[in-house]
Amino acid sequence: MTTLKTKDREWYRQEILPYFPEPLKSWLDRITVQDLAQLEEIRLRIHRPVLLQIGGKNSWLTEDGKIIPAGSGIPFILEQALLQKIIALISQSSFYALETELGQGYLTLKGGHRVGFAGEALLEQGVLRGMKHLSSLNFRLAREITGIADKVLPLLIDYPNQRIYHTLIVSPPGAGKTTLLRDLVRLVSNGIPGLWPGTKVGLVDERSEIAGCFQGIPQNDVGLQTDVLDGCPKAQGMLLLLRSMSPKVIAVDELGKEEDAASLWEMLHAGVTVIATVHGHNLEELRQRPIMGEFIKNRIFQRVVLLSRRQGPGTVEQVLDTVPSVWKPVNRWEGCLP
Amino acid sequence: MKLIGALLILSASTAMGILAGRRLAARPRQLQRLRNDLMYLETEINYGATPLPEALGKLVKYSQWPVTVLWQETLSSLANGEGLMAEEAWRHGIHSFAEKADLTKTDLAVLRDFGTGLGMTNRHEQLKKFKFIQEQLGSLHSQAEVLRARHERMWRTMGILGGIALIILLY
Repeated sequence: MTTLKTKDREWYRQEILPYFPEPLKSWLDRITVQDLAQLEEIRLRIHRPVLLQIGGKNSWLTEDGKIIPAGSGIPFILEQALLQKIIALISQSSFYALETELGQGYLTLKGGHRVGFAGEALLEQGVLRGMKHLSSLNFRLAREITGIADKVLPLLIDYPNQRIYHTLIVSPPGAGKTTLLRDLVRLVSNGIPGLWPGTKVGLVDERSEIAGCFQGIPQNDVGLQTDVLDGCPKAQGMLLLLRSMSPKVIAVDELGKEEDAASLWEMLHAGVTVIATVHGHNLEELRQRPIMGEFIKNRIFQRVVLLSRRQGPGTVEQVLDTVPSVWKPVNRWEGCLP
Repeated sequence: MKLIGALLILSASTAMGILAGRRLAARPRQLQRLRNDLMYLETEINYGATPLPEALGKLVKYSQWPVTVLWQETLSSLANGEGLMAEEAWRHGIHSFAEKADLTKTDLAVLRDFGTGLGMTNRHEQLKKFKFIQEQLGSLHSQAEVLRARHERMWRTMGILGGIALIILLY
């Protein structure tokens, strides 16, 4: 069962609208409940229209505050003063306190939503240190959708050995890999009666997207037995959690750096199960990549979950069993029960 | 009867002299208080990267009347949910503070200037603002101190002497 956390707009009024000054605030509040359910992004660019991405389509705000499909009517143009005000509101008038966030390029808000920044980069010895003169903001609305892993998790359990298979979630951007990972973490942690007892999970949430931590406290339900290491680089984070929290399962988002590979090997040798996600449209594409290609070829991950946007974000295309030499789908989960 | 009148005049003029002297002494004290508080705020921003509302909350407890009015009013304007920027909230703060303080127009103008861009640039830029206002308040403070040393006693004596002079004239 896929259910939205909140059907009404109360969360939107409490978690999103307070960051917008008038008149944007009341205009954005005019969004219909149907559109709100599909609202993915609010994009603000200086001297350009305010765009709302609703279900993959763009709408914009008009001069008189209506939300209509982009390209029609006369759009409202965002001026510098208003953008500054939004920046003041998201930073509590404390731009100086955002140094780390500006270096990362985004800020996590209460509720796990996040604001991405673009502007003039500040470099220090060639390393991105922060930004000034912000010109673009992107509010990405976090939707905690629980239930989408219900059908997937049973495919990932090694029933005879009572453990979870090493799993790689492959997905193009915006196809719900983080959402699936979050829900998997919750289920692996809490357990499913009769199928899986639940276990200790260590979650390295480098980009604060999975648990959506606000000041260190998870805003999303990531399960009863989950320890979250927020904002830590994956490679270091995995090793740290392994030593400090003795997890049975470690979950990370967006693998792909060289140092990730070394840590991943460490995890595999320590007997910890790894659940990870990676950007990609299909396996062929992944095989071509230097780091991930190695993992795929060596069949490190025993299960591969392929996602797409075919029937909206979170469409599970296939779950592959990589243990036999010919990888076979395990889509019918009854088939893999002992 | 005349004696009672004379006493009344004398005590009134003495009190006026003392009050004027006190006001003169209050200004350097408040300027110094402001400098201390701003240094505290600077530390919060520089080392703690504390967001303004939180830092102001601490200052409200740390500061003393009447300077605390400035922090209190700025904080409540900032946090009342109307979405004011720090700069605007600061103006509200100064407005309420000016009524309670014994500061001159120049002092208040310096404080007002400080509000421009408050919180809205990176740490490095913010620190420059603090350095600048410290220098300005520093020189205002020494001026105020000189004025106080020169005139505080004078006002007091003037109060008494003026009273006596008035009594003699009326006699």
